[in-house]
Amino acid sequence: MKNTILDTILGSRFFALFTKEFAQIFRNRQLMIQLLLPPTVFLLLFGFALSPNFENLKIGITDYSHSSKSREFTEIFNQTKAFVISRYYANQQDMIADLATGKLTVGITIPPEFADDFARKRPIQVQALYDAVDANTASISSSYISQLVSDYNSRYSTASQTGLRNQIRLQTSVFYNPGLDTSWFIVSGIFGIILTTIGSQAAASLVVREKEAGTIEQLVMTPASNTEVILAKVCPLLILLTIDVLIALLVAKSVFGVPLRGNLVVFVAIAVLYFLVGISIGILIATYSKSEQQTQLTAFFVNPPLVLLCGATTPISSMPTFMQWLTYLDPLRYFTEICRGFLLKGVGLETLWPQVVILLSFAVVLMSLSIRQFRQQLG
Amino acid sequence: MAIRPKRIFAQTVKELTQLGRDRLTLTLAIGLPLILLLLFGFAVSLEVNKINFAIQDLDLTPKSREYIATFERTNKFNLVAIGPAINIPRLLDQGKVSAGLIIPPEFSRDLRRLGRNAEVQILVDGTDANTANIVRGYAKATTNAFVENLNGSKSLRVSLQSRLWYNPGLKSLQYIGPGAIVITVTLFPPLLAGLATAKEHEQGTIIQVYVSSLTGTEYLLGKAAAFWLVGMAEVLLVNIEAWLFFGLWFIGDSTPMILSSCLYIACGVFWGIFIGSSTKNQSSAIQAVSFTAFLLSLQLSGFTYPIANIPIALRWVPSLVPARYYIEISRDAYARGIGWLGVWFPVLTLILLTSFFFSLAWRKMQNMQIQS
Repeated sequence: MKNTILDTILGSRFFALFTKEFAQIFRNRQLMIQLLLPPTVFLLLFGFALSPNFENLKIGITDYSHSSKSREFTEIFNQTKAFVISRYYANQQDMIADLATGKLTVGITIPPEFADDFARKRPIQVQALYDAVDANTASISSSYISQLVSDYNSRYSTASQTGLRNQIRLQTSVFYNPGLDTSWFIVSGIFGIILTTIGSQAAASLVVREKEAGTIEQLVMTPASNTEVILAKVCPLLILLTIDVLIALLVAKSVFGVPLRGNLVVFVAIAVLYFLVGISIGILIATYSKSEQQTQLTAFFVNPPLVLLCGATTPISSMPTFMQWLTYLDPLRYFTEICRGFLLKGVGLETLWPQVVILLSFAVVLMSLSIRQFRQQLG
Repeated sequence: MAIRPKRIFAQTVKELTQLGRDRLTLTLAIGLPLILLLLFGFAVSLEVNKINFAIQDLDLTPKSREYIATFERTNKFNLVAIGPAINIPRLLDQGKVSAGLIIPPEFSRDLRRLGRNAEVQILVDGTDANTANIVRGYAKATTNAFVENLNGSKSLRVSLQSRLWYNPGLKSLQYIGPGAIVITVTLFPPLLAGLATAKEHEQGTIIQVYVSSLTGTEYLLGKAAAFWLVGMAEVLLVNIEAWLFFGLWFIGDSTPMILSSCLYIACGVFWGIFIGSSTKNQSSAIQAVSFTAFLLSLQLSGFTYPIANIPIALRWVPSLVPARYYIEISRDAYARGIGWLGVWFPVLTLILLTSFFFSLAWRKMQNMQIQS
């Protein structure tokens, strides 16, 4: 009995086509390299190099007071990793010139009467100039600096009136990523981006190549149905992409120490489901275009929106509202949520089932669309 | 061997005619950048506003409500759930909120007793470390503001006078926009050039070029000129679009930007031709261009993440990415307005990189003819 099942599988048209596609992919050395090398290289490169954190912002200080009190004040900027004092200036003009050329992010000017006012307990005005070309960095550094100054103020006021002030102690617990390691965020996001780009491009180029070479007519003339032809094209790619995921997981775990908290078998299964989405997009593109060039250009038409709107590198909540609505149409958005959920948060299907259901419907719709389109074009 | 301008011109015309015949490609090459620019401009922002936030108020007193109102007033937080019975860890698991605040039942009692500290707890989703840090900072600032209000803030010693230069309204489009222009025009010049070159190899028409009296340099310059023109047309269109949608226009001397646009597009085209003649196959050429020219420019040019954050060991990677310098120049042209004094260095580097990419492509062409 067992033997006959195996025989039916091995003797089936699907299996014959599958072997053909497999041999075709494995003979194409360049395509193999393209499928296996870039994911690893880019995961490593971006994981190490990208960091949205703000550290070592350069501060310039013009201290007209030259007193022990003013030096004590400037010490506060050494207290966080966010700032590094890059230079002390003798006059404000030089500092402003450096601010203008982008050598500084913030320039602090301390007035000559700082020590005097401090001794007489008069309010002191310190000036902070920001290079606000990068609005985001400027607003973050300005909120850091006001925090530092308010800490400085409260140090002096609480010292004089100990215990007389009400305080609220804010106790922070950081979930999922207690070390606030930015590479975890990047790595778990890049995952989906690379696999989408590679999957859709490779699928599109495999299909369009048969079209260009004219061998697709031969495929259609075989007794195999269009569904079989497409599925046989998809399967070897699925296997290669699954290998990609396993490599990527290995890199994430061993190089970046991403905790991989969820059930990995379930995760890989969902990833395969997601590849189906990516591959269907690729096939759909290929059925609409006549040449390799057109296919790839159309892929560029489709891939950047998918990548930019998925929230893998920039938070979705910072996008304008109409863009936020568009993100719901992006399958990669759901896969990114699943990646972060499984790999960082350690939640499973019980929480992420809505995302999986949505991905499943994307896969079904896109797959049947591409099969239909394929049939129409060649029928 | 002398360079004959007439031949170069003929080669350029041939290339443009070929491109003009492929309607879909031409439409995409002109239309796609216009869409990409809008996407890059609007969708890429690290600004943390409207943080999804939940507050579990176990105290339910006027004081705790006042504290909550302070959070509502900041317009940094978007209150998604509030009440004594909500489950913050569960909301974090589902990704519905980025942070949650728990106000304990003894909050107002502790506040009333002088010298006693009330304790509140904030739970932050650390997946996105950047957002987490900022949320923590905002929560602390909001709490400080509430406490200062409570105590009457007469005891301030140092007050900070802040001035935001070049972009006083802190409009992030002023920053993202110029970068988006750069990234948008990055893709097509090398892509089209690479594809056209690889196609000649795939279809064997390159043999005809060898047989003709065209020299390698003439072939290279002719091809490059065609795609350079397409690229410059893109630059023009994208600039007009940025003016219409983002309100960006030159605020100072525009010559550095114009010069470096010419250089930048040339860089891309030479790189594309180099890739095309190395891979000799359209689909590999595309993969190579999309990874080297596009992904690297997008991620490592300082467009979204500051270059200063890249570890020193990897700093050399972005210094080879022309987009990095072009972005500096374009930010100066549209937002800072210093002109030549501020950007002579990036312009100079672009000149060097252009000659570098030219020599790469040129050497490839020389070798190619020897090989065949």
